[in-house]
Amino acid sequence: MSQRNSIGDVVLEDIDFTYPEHGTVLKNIDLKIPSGKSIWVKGHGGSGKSTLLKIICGLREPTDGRIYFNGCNICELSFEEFLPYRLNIGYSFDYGGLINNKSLWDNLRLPLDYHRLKKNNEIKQRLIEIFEYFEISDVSGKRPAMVIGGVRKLLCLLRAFVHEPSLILLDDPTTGLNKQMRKKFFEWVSQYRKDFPSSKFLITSEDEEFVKLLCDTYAEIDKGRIVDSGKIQMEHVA
Amino acid sequence: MVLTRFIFSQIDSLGSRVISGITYTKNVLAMVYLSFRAAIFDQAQSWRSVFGVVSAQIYFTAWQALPLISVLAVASGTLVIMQSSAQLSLLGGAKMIGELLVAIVVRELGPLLTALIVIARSGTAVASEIGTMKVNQETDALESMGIHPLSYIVFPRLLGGIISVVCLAFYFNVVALIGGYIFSRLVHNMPFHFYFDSLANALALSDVGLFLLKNLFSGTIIFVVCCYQGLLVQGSPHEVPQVTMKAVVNSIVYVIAFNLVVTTTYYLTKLASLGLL
Repeated sequence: MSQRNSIGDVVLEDIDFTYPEHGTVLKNIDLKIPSGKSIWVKGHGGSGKSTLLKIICGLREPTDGRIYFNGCNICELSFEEFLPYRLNIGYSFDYGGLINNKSLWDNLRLPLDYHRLKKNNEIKQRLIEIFEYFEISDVSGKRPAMVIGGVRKLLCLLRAFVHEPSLILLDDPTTGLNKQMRKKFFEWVSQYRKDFPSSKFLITSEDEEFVKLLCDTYAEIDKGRIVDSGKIQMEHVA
Repeated sequence: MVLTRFIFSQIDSLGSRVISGITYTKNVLAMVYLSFRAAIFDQAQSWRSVFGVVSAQIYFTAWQALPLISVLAVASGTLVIMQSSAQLSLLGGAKMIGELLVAIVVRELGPLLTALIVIARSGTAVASEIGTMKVNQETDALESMGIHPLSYIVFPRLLGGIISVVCLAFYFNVVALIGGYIFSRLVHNMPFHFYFDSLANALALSDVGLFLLKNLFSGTIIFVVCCYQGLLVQGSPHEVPQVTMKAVVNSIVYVIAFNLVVTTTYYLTKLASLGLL
């Protein structure tokens, strides 16, 4: 069974990121995600929201700056050293991200099985609960290409939660979900927050109603910089 | 002046090609090193998950290619016997049939044709599959789940590919020699013990070494190049056919060049040992 490290508060200091072919995407980003809090990252398309999430998840290395998990600068860690932290992160892509040559069941099973985070019967029980809750048991054996886009998106979201991480990064979570899926997913996330009160969320979304009910604070990014932040008030979600 | 310019432009072009070739080789070798390193350090990766991908690769590369390999092997064995036995009979050297079969089929045609079939069937599939995985962010998804893409994608395909090439080449040789015997039996009424003795006398321990050297490295070259090309895709679907085409071309060039170098070295060594060089 793989070891998991506690993440604690997440602190970003002076993060810069530049794509060699697209230029600077993020500049001087300072952000703190305290335990038990949820932050809505808002901004226009191309403002750097998704890149920020990928950097925190370890998928992109910042050009400059530091990211602290529990006081440890993760930018200095190798893949193997970062792994115990990574197993406490759930990341959902804005599109794609499912393994196409595996069934939906195996996609959801992969992180639990690969790292032996649960026993086989526990994995099976958990997956049955999830598929039944979202009423998609009938397509669990199908591959991603054989199901509708909404189910693919839902599976990608659920895979971010399946190993019960403490830091959850959701990139545009509700786009592509139908009303029923969206409602069920909201209830699922609300229950997750109750079950794991120290879990923290970073969500990018245009769905203000969804983030209003989930997030405590917001950070607005424009042209790669955080230009505004604060507690979510009604006028922000109007 | 025009001639001087032309000569220098040719030298520039050659230099640029050499440098890009060296960079390419360096990057490919770095990927091989990193995939082995990741597989060794990836303590989470169980043999069960590696075995699953390796066995799928062997099924696709070796098992499904058996009918095509069988046809080619029988045709090669028969053609070599057909062409050579007529000439050898005229010269009274029918006993040399084994020498010819070993030299042409076992040492040369077997490894080369097997490699070309594997490139055409599996090399293209591997390059396009990995390229598509990059487009669909599957490699990022694996990484986000703490699964090293090189350990999960490249290492098992490389291992399965090498095993497949060696097994297929062995199968090719066996079927070609059996095909050759059937033809000899039907046309020249050659007795089995004569055919078998001729082959047994011709085969040496060095042929086993040459067989393993050629096929192990051909398998490595094919799957390393194809995996590397697939991983070069940045994120656009139109890149997938481009990298697949490059994977095929580069694999063919490297495999033929490698076979040529090994064969040349082998025969020069043999000539030297006979005192002819």
